[in-house]
Amino acid sequence: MSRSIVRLATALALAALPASAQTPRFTVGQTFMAGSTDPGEGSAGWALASHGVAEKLFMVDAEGRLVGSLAESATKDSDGSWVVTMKPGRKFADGTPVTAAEVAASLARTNEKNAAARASIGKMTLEAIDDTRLRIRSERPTPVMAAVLAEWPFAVYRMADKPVFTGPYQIAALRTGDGMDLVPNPNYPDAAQRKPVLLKRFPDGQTMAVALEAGELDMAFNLPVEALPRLKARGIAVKTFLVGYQYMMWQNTRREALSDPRVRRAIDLVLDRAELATAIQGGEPANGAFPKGTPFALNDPRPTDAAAANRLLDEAGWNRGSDGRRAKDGKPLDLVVTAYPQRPDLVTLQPVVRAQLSALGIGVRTRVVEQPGPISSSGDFDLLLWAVHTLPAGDPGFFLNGFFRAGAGNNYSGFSSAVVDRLLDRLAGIASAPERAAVSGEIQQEIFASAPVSFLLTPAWHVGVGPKLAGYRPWGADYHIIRPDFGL
Amino acid sequence: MTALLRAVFLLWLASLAVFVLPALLPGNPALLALTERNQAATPENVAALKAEWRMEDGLARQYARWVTGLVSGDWGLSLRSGRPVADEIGPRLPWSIAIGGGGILLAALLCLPLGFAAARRPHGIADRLTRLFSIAAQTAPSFLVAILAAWLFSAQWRLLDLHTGGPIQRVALPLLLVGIYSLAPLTRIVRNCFVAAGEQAYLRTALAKGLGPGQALHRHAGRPVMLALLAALTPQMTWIVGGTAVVEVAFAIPGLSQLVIESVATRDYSVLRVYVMGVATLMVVVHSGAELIRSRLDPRPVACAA
Repeated sequence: MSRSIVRLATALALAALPASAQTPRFTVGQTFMAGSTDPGEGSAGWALASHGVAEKLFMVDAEGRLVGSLAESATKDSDGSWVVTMKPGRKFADGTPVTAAEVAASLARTNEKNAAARASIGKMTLEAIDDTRLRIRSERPTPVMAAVLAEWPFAVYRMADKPVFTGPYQIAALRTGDGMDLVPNPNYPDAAQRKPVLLKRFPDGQTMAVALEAGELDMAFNLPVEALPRLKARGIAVKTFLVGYQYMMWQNTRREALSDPRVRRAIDLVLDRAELATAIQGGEPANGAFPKGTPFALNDPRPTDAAAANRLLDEAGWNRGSDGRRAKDGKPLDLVVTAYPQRPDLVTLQPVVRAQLSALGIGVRTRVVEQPGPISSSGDFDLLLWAVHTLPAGDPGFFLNGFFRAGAGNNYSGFSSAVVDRLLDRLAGIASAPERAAVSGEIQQEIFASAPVSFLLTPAWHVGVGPKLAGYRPWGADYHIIRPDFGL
Repeated sequence: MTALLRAVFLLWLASLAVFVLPALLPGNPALLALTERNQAATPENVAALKAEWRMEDGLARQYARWVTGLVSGDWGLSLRSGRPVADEIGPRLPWSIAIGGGGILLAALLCLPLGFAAARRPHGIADRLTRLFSIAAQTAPSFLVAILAAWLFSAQWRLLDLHTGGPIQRVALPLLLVGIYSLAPLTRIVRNCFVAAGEQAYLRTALAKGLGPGQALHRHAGRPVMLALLAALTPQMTWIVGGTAVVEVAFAIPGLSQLVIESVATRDYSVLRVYVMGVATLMVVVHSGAELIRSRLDPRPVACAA
């Protein structure tokens, strides 16, 4: 009774609510939000597609398959250029038709402005053949243009006074750092069946969990594992799923001790991935670069063999002293394991990795840096824990080329292998998916042999849903959180 | 005039410190910005970015350009987002002002009746309760209380939509907490001042003339109490800046504190400098203003502030 009175009094006292609070809508909590509506800037293209605002020509579906989104097909012409044929009848949110000329203009602009849009094929030249067909030439050739166009920078838009997109939702209001109001795009099929969405940004997962617990959210994406028992105890449904992101540990081959492949392999061999998975209370040991269930995943688990690891270090001349610590020519084998707080799981993994390496006689310290970018770019690390989506466009070329080709932009470990480079060249000429899977498997075996990186885990993420979104099915990452079927 | 010159001198010193100190933070903003822009951190890209930011000019020229822009309202571009700093700060400012300004106003208004009630009967119930309240506020960490309050009012009792409700719902509790934390010391100061005034000869005269203790305090002790309150509010403004930051984080309020946290992490000197300069200006204005009012009202030093 007294609680009802308090609630009534509070409701009366706080009557000055915005109208949006009364409107039927879905409220979704996330820890990230697009900071800009221009795909030419940073990772806005990725965030806007994740919010259901932007679409690309091609996309990766729930099963990890590369499928057409705005486009029907991409075929290679005899002169090496690609012809993309678009689906008929699609419109931008302002009602103008999606023409090849508009698509060409937007992709050319993004390719010019955003370096991420040049990562795979360099500079692009685009021209409209007619209303529905588009010709693309690229600075660097690719056998899988559809996969390239499925990469997150390539959102399609029409540049009016601000970008206009084609997704099922459009942005009605953007409140910097706080949230955005999404309303159904009237020019998208089934628009009348969609409800508006309030997308609320939270600075951290714990606060988001409290909001879900309070019934303020219909969905909270990527909840911290510590909050799960509390939420489940209150009857809130939590959906756990393996994501396309892989956790890994780069080994800096430019460091003296780690320049010897035997040392790197020893480190890789002593890692107990099952123990790591237990530490973060979710996820599965990684078999390689790509998550299980995808066409490019390997079947055999990575071995854990402490005896073999010890032998490798002995062979490399790092011998144990009386205190159990390894040293060579009087110099101790000391390494620093670095992580960054944006992926809290990586920080959780640090002490476990330290304990496992210490058992090998390696002196290990841990370090947490504020931002991962400068450390990875400068190469100022020994061992760097890392999280990355290895199949963002459904094809292994993006990850393998970007991270393992000698001199590549994201080759954090400073790895250089003529064999791997040759295999990557071969991969660049193969179009069929099974053959690409076979060659990517060969590349991974070469990587295992040199161990510039240790693939650790395929993590699990957790999505909390209220009754209104009980049927929500998370796809294997945060690339498409709000989709055309959202809430339908 | 002297006070004005001193204020300008202080602001100039502050601007020097604000300009130089962020640059001493470890971490290279160019590398962080390149990461944000998805560009490789090659020496060429770093050099191009520094040229874009005009960081290759001498420090004196950079400072002169910055101060001129600051005064003329051109606060430059955020190194992180590339948007004007004013556009980054503008939408967040109302939240922080509502919580910080509202909190201190609430405390200033409530401390007078509470302090008066406590002073009317030293060691009485009101006095003991306000003492207990003061001790509790000084000993309970504000971040812990804020997190607990957010959980209780939101998840446990479901009284407020703290995260997705309208502005009033979102601001009410954070404002109240900031107010309560400021109220505790102010109440004790007001109480002590009333008690000290009660021991003055003019109060004894008022009592001898037949006024009750409450009436006498109310009629004759108001001026010294207001002066003491003014003196106490000035340093309290410093706490307000930090206290507001704590509740903004705990309640996920998109105020200035969230922006400052992100700016520190990304070494966004443009935003940090404007923020710190804004806080410094606020402090100088508050101190100078309070001093001016005090000197106009009563130039004698206040003796009753605890």
